[in-house]
Amino acid sequence: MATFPTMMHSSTTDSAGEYRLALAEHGQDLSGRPLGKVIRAEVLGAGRDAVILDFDGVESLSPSLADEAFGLLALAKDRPRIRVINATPDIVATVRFAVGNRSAAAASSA
Amino acid sequence: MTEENGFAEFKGIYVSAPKYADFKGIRKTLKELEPALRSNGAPQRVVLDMTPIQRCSATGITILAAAMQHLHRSKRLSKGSEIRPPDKLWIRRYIEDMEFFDALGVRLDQGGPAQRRSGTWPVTRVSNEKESARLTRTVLEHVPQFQKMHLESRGALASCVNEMAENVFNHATSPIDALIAAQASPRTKKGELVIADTGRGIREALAADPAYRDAVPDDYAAIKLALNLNVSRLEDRARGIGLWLVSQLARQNGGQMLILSNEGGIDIVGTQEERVDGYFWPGTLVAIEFDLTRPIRTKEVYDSGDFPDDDAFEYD
Repeated sequence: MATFPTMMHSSTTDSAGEYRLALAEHGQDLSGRPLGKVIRAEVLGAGRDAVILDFDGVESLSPSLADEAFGLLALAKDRPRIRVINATPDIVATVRFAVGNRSAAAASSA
Repeated sequence: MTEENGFAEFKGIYVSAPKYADFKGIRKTLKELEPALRSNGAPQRVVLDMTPIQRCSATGITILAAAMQHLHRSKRLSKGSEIRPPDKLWIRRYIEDMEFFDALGVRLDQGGPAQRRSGTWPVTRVSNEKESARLTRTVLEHVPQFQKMHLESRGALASCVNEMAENVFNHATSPIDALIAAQASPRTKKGELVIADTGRGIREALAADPAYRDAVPDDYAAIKLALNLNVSRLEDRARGIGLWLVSQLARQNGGQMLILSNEGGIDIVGTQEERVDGYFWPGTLVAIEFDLTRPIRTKEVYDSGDFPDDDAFEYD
């Protein structure tokens, strides 16, 4: 069973009971696989059925981080439902690309 | 290059910086450096003569700084090195502002106070992803021409820097880590990004993966392969996005991207791509010039190809 390090992260549960992760707490520019691993661990470690990824304040998302954080997240067993909000069109495109690219690679190696 | 005055008693190499040590002058700069970078049997001393420089930019300065750092580290210069600063005062001031001498641990006499020149960011060494992200944010916030760009173009620029830096950290084993500099010109409306390492080069990195070994008989073939999507030495066929994306952004922008790795090179100018032979860089050097009047949009790159999509997440 995967274990995740205990860490501080900024999240809120809003009035609708949804768990929201404010990604700008990690900076305006999200890059690097090490940070990608941290974000993925935060999502999986939240222990929720649904998680909102709030990109408000995030200006850039590198494809490597997107793959590590979200591409691998999409494939994770027992992951929560994910909703992306407040992301620029470029960031949405980067997340979608990372998820699709990772899923396709997984399918071709299966 | 010949050995010059006073070198008779020990093996020295004299390097003359070119007249134009800028983006357009990259190839000339490399030609001048080549004898020093290739020298067999370590030279005891290197003299870098910058007096001829009449024009320079972030790219040229970074290449010279990386070369000098490499020579010090790899050639073990027992008699050290000497830098003859530029004759033209304003060039000397520019190079000081770029912290070229700081990068080499050199103090100049009568240098006067260095001031940060608007539109440039100095030669900076980064050794991990956090430093790279911090540098990127600082550059985007302090170089006025980058500040004025559309938000998403700035985001794309940030991704370019961070992805290129991450390649150095993950693949290069560079003793100088990554040297990065940036510049934007209000006159030409061009922005320059340069990242230099003196690691093992793309070919050796890819050849470590048995799947690519036969596909990289030379450095040019290795660069060509690395520019493809999902090519990575790490046996994970979903990786290998960064260099491909950066090259696509340069093409889409109508800019120019020069990649040199050991004996090989590729020059991308807009939609054209040209093989570059006859130059040498001990490691990997990526220099990009963007047209700041045109957008740099990652979404357009992803929309331009038939890439797999996935509805795993919801998007508002």
